[in-house]
Amino acid sequence: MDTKISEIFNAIVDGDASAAKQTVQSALEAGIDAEIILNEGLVASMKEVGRLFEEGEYFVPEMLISARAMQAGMNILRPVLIEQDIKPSGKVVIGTVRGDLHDIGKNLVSMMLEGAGFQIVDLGTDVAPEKFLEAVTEHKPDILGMSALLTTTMSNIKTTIQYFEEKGVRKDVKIIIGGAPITQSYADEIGADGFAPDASQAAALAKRLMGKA
Amino acid sequence: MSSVFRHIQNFTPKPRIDQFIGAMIGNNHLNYPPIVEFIIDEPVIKTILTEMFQREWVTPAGDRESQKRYLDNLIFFWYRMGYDMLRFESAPLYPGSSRVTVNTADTSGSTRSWAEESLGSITSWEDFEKYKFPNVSEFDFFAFEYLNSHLPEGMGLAVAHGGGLFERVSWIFSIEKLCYLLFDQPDLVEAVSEIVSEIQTNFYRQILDLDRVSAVFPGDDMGFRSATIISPNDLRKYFLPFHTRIAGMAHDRGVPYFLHSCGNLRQIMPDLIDTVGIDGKHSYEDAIIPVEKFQEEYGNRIAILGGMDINFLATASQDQVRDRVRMLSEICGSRGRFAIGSGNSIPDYVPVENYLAMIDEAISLKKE
Ligand code: B12
Repeated sequence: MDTKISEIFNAIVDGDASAAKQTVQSALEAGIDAEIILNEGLVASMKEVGRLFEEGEYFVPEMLISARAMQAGMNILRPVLIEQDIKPSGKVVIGTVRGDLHDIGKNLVSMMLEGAGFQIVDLGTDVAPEKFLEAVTEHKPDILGMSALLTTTMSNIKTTIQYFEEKGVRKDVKIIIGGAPITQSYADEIGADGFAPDASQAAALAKRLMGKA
Repeated sequence: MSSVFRHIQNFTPKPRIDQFIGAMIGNNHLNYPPIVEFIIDEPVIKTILTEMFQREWVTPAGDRESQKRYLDNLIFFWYRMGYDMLRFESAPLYPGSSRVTVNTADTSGSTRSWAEESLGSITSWEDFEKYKFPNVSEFDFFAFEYLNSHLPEGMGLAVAHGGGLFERVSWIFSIEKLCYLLFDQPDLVEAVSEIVSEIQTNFYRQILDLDRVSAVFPGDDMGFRSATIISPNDLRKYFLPFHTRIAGMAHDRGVPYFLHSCGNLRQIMPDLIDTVGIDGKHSYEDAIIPVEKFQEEYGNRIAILGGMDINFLATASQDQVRDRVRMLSEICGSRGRFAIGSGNSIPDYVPVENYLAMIDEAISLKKE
């Protein structure tokens, strides 16, 4: 790996936002291809963060500060990516379902998806089926992600999927779900396209669904 | 309530807190698993008291009379359901914010309140200076005292400060801010933890004086689906020493320290058992590790309290709940140091009939 790239990688894995910003800047100034900076720097480092999280070496705070560093780097890189018309891995609309205000699980998933190169539209919490539909119609994402914390609010994932079916748009988007009470068998039962138990595996799942894993 | 719960209706409770505690700490073996609970949401208690026992529900207000009648109802409820130990928690007011949504478990338009996860009350030293930490000397311990002097014979009291140290600190900062501050301003985290730890220690000093206290049983959720929320090292640094201290106070007073803590705590179980000295653990989820598996690993060292998964309890049929009680009784009960109950609490979205089916089946297993 190029030293400039490994500096970006280390800054993000260490959660050092100002170093991430500087190293991305300096890699761009050195003429390194923006797509390489994205994939080998930002995306690769967040994959490593995900691995550390899955293995029980990183926890929620470590993941949050790494994601913050990644975003600091991304803010420098994004204008260049747009200018060069480099497309994201895919687009994801995500939200916590109606009746549920649990935010942090969904936020970590958004950050890991962003770190995997996806463009994210975060609808926040307490999102009604109609709002999900509106956002899907407007943004035309590849994937819709839904999160719920409790069994009582988890039923609104099912309600939202049913609503999409009623409106005839279920096939337009892949649906992934997660949260404390969710299991693979529940995902199968309600006809979701995927489930992941943690944010790192959520990113891998999204890539798989895009045929990119 | 259309189902019949014959065992609950027909039995005469005979609470034996000495036997219960003896069984949980492994001094004696019972030929049936006793029952235990952490929190039972008020709508559940209210439905059972009013519909099954035709009692009048009283919401406690500022006056002693309504408070006493409310507490009488609680005592009646825990006694009549067959518990040996009534668990009660309360806490002084920590200023902070929460948010509400519609309650998906109730169509009558009630609300559910949620912890504020990203906008805390303290984010800087300036906020810290302004924050009004509660003063235990101003706290009204009447409810604890009343329960202590009105519990039926044979029943014990499990006490707690509502909201454990990690929980309280994470609510004051908000969980997300706390996570950032652990890196950005660890001294601020330390300062707040120390003060809250002091407040709670004072609180426990007061309630441990009550003579009917038979266990200290706080809740402090430190885990989530795949691991502890913050790292084991940060837990060891800021939060676990407090649990060690309170467990020590409980032990000095001659009562066990039972800890309710949700989530996957695999990495800190040795700390909880060997350093903190917990005598029992409450809170289990099948999605993380089913209680019978957990017991295989740790059940020879600590009591296993509760364990029926909430998702299951909320969605299963009554017959499935009864089957699960029998299964847990056979597998976990026969190993000893086990009490039947929920994996977390009885929230308002668990059908009341399912809760009653769990209790009814457990009572049916009691052999004198
Ligand atoms: C912290 C916590 C609380 C806090 C804060 C909740 C809040 N915001 O209001 C407090 C103490 C207030 C609380 C209260 C209650 N809680 Co609580 N709580 C938890 C706990 C310990 C951790 C949740 C958390 O913060 N996780 C951290 C984040 C980072 O993790 P996460 O949300 O799981 O997200 C990860 C994955 O799930 C996944 N993911 C998340 N979303 C998505 C989306 C997609 C698309 C994908 C692919 C993946 C994915 O990736 C994330 C990162 O890896 C869980 C235990 C657990 N197993 O999670 C219980 C838990 C959720 N609580 C539970 C219960 C029962 C309650 C109460 C009802 C208790 C009661 N009787 O009052 C109340 C109700 C809350 C309310 N608002 O009314 C139960 C729910 C059981 C169920 N099946 O319904 C749990 C599972 C505990 C248990 N032992 O069973 N709770």
